[in-house]
Amino acid sequence: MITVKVAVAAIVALASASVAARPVSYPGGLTAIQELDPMMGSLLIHYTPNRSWSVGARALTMRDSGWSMAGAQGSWLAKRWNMPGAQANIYLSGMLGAAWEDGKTPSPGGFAEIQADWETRRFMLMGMARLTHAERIETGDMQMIRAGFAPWVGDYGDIHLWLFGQVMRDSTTADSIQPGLVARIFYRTMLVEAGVTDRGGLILNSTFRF
Amino acid sequence: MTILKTTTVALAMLLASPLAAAPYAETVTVKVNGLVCDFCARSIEAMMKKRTDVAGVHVDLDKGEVHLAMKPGATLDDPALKKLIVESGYSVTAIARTPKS
Repeated sequence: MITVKVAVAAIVALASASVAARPVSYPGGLTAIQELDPMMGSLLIHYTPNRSWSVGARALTMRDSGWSMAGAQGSWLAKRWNMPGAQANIYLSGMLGAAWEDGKTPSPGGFAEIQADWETRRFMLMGMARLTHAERIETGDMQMIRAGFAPWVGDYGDIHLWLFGQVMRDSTTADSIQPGLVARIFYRTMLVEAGVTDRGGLILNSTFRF
Repeated sequence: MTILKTTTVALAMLLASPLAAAPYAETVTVKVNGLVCDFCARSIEAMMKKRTDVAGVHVDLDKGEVHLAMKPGATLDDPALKKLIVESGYSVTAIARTPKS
């Protein structure tokens, strides 16, 4: 079991909050979302059988709090607004699995999450809130908001750049609020984000669709 | 002179006949709402490329349009096309075809 826990911790350490990419893709789409920031690391691989929901496997570690979780995640596109020059979405996600503090026995755990975004070709707003609970781990909540813009409006097939300001909050860490700046570059189905928090912490996210 | 005219007409008919017999390839322009993100619009391309009747897909983010080149003789009726775009995550506001059906 220790080997499994070490493996999960290693994966998510390489690989954190879920606003980097949308949790539901298109029917038949397979997506890998990796996130890393000073508060957490996360790896989610999901499959979208229907345009309204996705199923996947997730491993995450709370780097400051010293605990990890692995299990199955389901996400539901609760509402989408398609407008002439904009799109907005609300997603609900839930994860169930095993959670453990570093070096301790796993116990059942999970989280519930809401994520929302609004986007034009020039501006983007995103936000998420998550409530995590496990038997032997302190119940915690986490929020993140982001606002950004594209310095140039790229056409289909171009390399796209977005610049974001974001604020993350995690109730279970001592340094609970961390602002940051993030640059997003994407080309076709590959998306990479790199940024830094005001404490100098690294933010590194990526999404790949297959 | 008559032989030259006859030869010219025969040659023109010979060149024109395969074109006249070939089925036309339809081009479809779909006006779509919500089309703002290249990364997300890849869903349309992925959904269309699964089909054997679609020869090519082009997305115009500036105009909010999806352009489909159908294979010769193939067509995709409006309800089926609308369903594909909705399944891809977008809303259809208009469909135009060339040549007009």
